[in-house]
Amino acid sequence: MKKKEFMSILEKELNVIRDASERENALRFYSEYFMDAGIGDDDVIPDELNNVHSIAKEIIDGVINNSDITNSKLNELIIDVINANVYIIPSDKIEVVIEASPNDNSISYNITDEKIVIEQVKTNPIHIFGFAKIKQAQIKIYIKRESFIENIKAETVNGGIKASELQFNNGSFESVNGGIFLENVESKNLHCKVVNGAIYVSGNLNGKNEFETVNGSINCNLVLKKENYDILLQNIHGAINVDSESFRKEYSSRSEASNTIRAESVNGSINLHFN
Amino acid sequence: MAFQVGSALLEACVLAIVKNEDVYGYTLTQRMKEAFDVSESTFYPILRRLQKDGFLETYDVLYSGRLRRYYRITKLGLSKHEEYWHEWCSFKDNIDNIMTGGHK
Repeated sequence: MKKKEFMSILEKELNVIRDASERENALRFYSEYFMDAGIGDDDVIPDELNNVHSIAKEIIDGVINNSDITNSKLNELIIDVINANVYIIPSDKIEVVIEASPNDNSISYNITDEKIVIEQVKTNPIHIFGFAKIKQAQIKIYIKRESFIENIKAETVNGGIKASELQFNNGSFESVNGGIFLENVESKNLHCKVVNGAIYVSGNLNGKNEFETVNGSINCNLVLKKENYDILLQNIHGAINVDSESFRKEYSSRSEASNTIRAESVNGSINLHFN
Repeated sequence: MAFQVGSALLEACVLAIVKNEDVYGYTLTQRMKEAFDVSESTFYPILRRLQKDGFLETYDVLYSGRLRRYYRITKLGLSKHEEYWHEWCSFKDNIDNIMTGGHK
């Protein structure tokens, strides 16, 4: 491997470290090392440095396990991808793991103390025997447990979104072909929109909540009592169940409630369960 | 090398080297290579940890038109080295005893 390849891979992988000075210190160590060893950009590096991935991982683990960052508030989490399943997983550290097909460099990410942005550029599908072949990538975002996120926006076209134990103020989740599964969320305003796929949400929802799907059911399992919500449920085909009691298709419980739920599905049932 | 080396031993050796003279990354790596196998890693994570724990500190020196980062040992690092040295001596004696079939 050439020095410049080593440095560019290292720089890319160390991007998961949120503290910029930690990243710079590590990169500087290696770039000084090569200079002092007389290894230029196009020179081949010693064999023991070939495993740049494990070197990066060791640095990242060291920083994460011994870090000054106590900030558990994230301003923005933005995920804007095309062919990918998105998983947001509670963890004791912040990390982004992207599992994509080989040579798929379409996904890029950027993590700072305040903001995480993950994006995918459109790539042309590979045609095999006339069929367009697109392999879905898996994007796993590990978020420090109990961190509070001000704004989350997650969009994918072909793929679902799955998250658990998220706490946020404003959340917008959209998928064209794939479901949205949000487990144990605590949120202020939540917006979920799917064309082909189901929506499942459980947790404590406050503020203004909207769920829309064309082909798929909507299931909510909520902590608050139904009296605390203003509820509007609409569908054309399929049943509507609110806590097994039968309600009219349009139901508005208390107009003075500060929390609202609007759920719409064309072909699919809507189930609301309150604890 | 047949023996697995833990991070405490690596730290002890880094401290011993830096105790003798201030070093920069490359020279430190070369010294460590005399005793250890560096199959897939370098010593940056160890240096970083020693620095975070307050045993080492850094300063930059201008060298042929660029900065070179040097590491030097702190007071805390000196007492840590002392501690490692005593630990190592008794560990080494015990192993030697067993290896040579001797008795305490």
